[in-house]
Amino acid sequence: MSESSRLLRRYARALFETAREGNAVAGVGRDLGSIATALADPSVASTVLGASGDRASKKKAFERAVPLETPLSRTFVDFLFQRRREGILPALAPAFAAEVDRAEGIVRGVVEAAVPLADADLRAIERALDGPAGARVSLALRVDPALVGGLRIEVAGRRLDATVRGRLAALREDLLEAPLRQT
Amino acid sequence: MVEIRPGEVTAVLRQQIASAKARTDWKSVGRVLQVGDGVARVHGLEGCMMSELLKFPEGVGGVALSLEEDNVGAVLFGSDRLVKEGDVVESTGRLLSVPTGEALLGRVVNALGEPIDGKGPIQVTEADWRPMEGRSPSVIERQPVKEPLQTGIKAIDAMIPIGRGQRELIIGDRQTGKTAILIDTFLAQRTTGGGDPRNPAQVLCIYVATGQKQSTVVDVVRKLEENGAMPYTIVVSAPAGDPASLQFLSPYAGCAMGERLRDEGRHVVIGYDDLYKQATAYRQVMLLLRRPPGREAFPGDIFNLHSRLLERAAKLADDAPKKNPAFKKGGGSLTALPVVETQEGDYAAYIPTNVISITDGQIYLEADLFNAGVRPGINVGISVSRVGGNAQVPAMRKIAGGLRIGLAQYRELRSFAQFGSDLDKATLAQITRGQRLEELLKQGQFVPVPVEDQVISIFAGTKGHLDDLRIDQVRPFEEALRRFLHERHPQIPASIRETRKIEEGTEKALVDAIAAAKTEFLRTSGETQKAEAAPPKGRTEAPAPKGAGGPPKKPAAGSH
Repeated sequence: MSESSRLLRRYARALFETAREGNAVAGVGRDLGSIATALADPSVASTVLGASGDRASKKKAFERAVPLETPLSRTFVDFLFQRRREGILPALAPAFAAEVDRAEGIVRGVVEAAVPLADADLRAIERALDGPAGARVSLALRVDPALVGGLRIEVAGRRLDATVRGRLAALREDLLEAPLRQT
Repeated sequence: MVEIRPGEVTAVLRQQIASAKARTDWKSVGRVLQVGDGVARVHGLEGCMMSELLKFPEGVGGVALSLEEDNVGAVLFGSDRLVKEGDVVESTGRLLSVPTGEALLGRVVNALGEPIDGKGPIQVTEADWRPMEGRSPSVIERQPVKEPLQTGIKAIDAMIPIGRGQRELIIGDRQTGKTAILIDTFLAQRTTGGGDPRNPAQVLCIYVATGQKQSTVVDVVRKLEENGAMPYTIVVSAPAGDPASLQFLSPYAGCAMGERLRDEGRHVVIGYDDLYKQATAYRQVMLLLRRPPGREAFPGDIFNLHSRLLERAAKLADDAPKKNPAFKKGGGSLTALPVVETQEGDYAAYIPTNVISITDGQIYLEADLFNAGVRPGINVGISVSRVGGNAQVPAMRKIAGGLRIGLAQYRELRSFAQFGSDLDKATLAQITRGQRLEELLKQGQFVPVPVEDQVISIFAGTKGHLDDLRIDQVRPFEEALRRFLHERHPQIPASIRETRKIEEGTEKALVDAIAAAKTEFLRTSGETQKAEAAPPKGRTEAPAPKGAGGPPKKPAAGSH
C-alpha cells in the first residue's frame, strides 16, 4: 500500500516538473483525466492492465482507446509501458492534481453542512482558513442532513467539528465516561 | 452490585448535561486503511505520538505503536469488527494512561483501569491519571535495598531473602506453585499493617494477571478475599480472552498504579503473572504490525519490553523529593515479583534467560520436588537472591547459614541414603539433619509464617534439636513448638520480633523451651497414639489446628 503510493507520488512529481518546464501542465492534466475516464471502463482496463497479452498489443489497445493531446503525455505513457509501470495509470490523475496543488500552494479540504451553503459563505470560510504562509484553502461542499446543524471542516489531516451531531456524540461520550472521572 | 435509583440517575444526567462543554477544537484525524486481527493501519494522523491514545468510531480505543512515513500502525482495545475501512480516527493528544491511587485498592480492574468487579465506579480525579509507560527512577533517586520483604514462606525468607525494591523472578513449569507463592506473599503482608490500607506501614499488593484463565483470576481474588488480603490489593486482569493489546499492556498498567503509591512513600509489591504470556501477546501484536521477527519470532525489542518494566521497581532514596519534585515522599519502594513459565524445565529458553538477566535473582520451582511432596517445590540449590541478603533480618541471617550448609551437604549425600548401605556416623548424621531440614521447609498454602516463628523453627532444625524425632514428627512438632512458645514463653518470640536478633539470654531460654516442648510433645503424641488405638468413643483429641501441623495434609493444590 505505502510502497505503491510512494511510487505513484514519485512518477507524478517527475511528470509535473517536466510539464511545468514545457508549459504543458493544463494539457497533461486533461490527458490524465481522459486516461482515468477511459480506464474506468472495465473492458478497456482489462485489455490494457490485465495479465494476458503482450506489451505491444496492450500499448496499441491503449492508444486506440485514449487519444492523447500533448506529446509529453504520449512520451510519458510510452515510458511507463517500457518500465512496466502501466499499473499506476488509473491513479495518476489525482496524484498529479495533488502535485499541481502543492506547487500552487492550494490546500484542499471538505466542508460538510446539513444544508447547502451559499457560494459567498463557502468563500468566506475558505478565507478564514487561509494559512499564514500563503497557503490557499479550497473547500468542496458536501451536504449531509444527518449533521442536523453547524459545520464540519476537514483540511490537511485536521478536523474541526462544530456540528450538532458532533456535540451530541461528545455529550454521549461524557455521559458514558462520567462515573470514572467524577470527583 | 450497585443499587440503581432512577431518580438519582436523572439527577446525575442532568448535572452532566449542564456541565458538558462544547468542544470545538481542531483535531488531527486519519482514516483507516486496513483493519483486522486487532490491529489497524491509519492514514493521516499527522503529529501522532508514540503510544498516543487514539479514538476509533463506536467508542473503540486504540494506541499508536508503529509510526511510519505515511501511515500509523495501531492496536485496538475493543472488537475490530466495529471498525471499518475509511472510518475516521481521531488522535487525543494524550498518552495511554490509567487511573491510579488508593481508590483502586480492593478492586479488580482491566488493563485500562476500568473496574470489572461489579462494585461500581472508582472515584478518581483527572490528576490521578498516570501514563502507563513511565520513567524509572535514576541513580541518585534510588537507594540500595535494605528492608526485608517477608514472604511468610520459610524457604524463601531464610535462603532467598527478598528486599523491598528488589526484582525476584519466580520461574518454573506449569503446576509447580508459582502463583501460590505470589498469593502467600500477599497474604503475609497483612502482618505489616494489620491489613489496613490506610496504615502507612502496610505493604500494598498488586496482582497483574496477564493471559491467565478467567477462572484462575476468580480463584485468586476469592483466596485474597477469604484471607483478608483484598483491602490492600489491586488486581489488574487481562485474561487470555482479552485482546492481545490489553494483555501486553497490563503489566505496565499495574506498574503505573504501583509507582504512584511508591512515589507517595508507600511500600508496594507487584506480581506479574506471567511475563512469558505477555511476551507472546506482544509478539502477536508486533507480527501483525509487520515488525521484523527475531529469535523465536519475537520482535527485536522483546528484551526492552521486560527490562523497561522491571527497571521501574525501585527503593527510593529518603530525600528523593528534593532531587525530583515528582516524588511526593521518599523512602517508598516497589518490589517486583515477575513470574515466567517454563516448558519442561527449560529455563535456558529465550524469554526465561532474558528475564533472569534483568532480575536480582530467581526462585526455581521444580515439578519433581513438587510431586515428591516438597511444597513449595523450591529448588534452594539453584535459587538465588542477589541483593536481598543485605535486607535479611539479622536473626535469620545468623541461622540461615547453617541451614544452607546442612541442606547442601544433604544434597550431596542424598543418593547414598537410598541404598541403605553402611555409612559412617558423620555421614549418617548429615543425612539425618538434612532430611529434617528439608521437612522443616515444607509449608502449607495460605499459611504464611511470621518471621519470629520461622527463626525459631529453623533454629531448632539447624541446632540439631529435631535430629532425634522421626521425619513424620517434624512438622507436627514444629507446630507444637510454636504453640508451646506462644502460650508458655511469649517473651521469646516477642524478643526476636522486636530486636530482630537472638540475644544471648533469649538463645538459652529458647534451647530450654525447645527441650521442654519436645518432652511434652513426645508425651502427648504417645498418648494420642494410645487414644487412637482405643475405641473411637474415648477420642477427645482436639481438631488439628490450621497450619503446618496436624496429620498429613491433603496436598495444597497449586492454583497455577
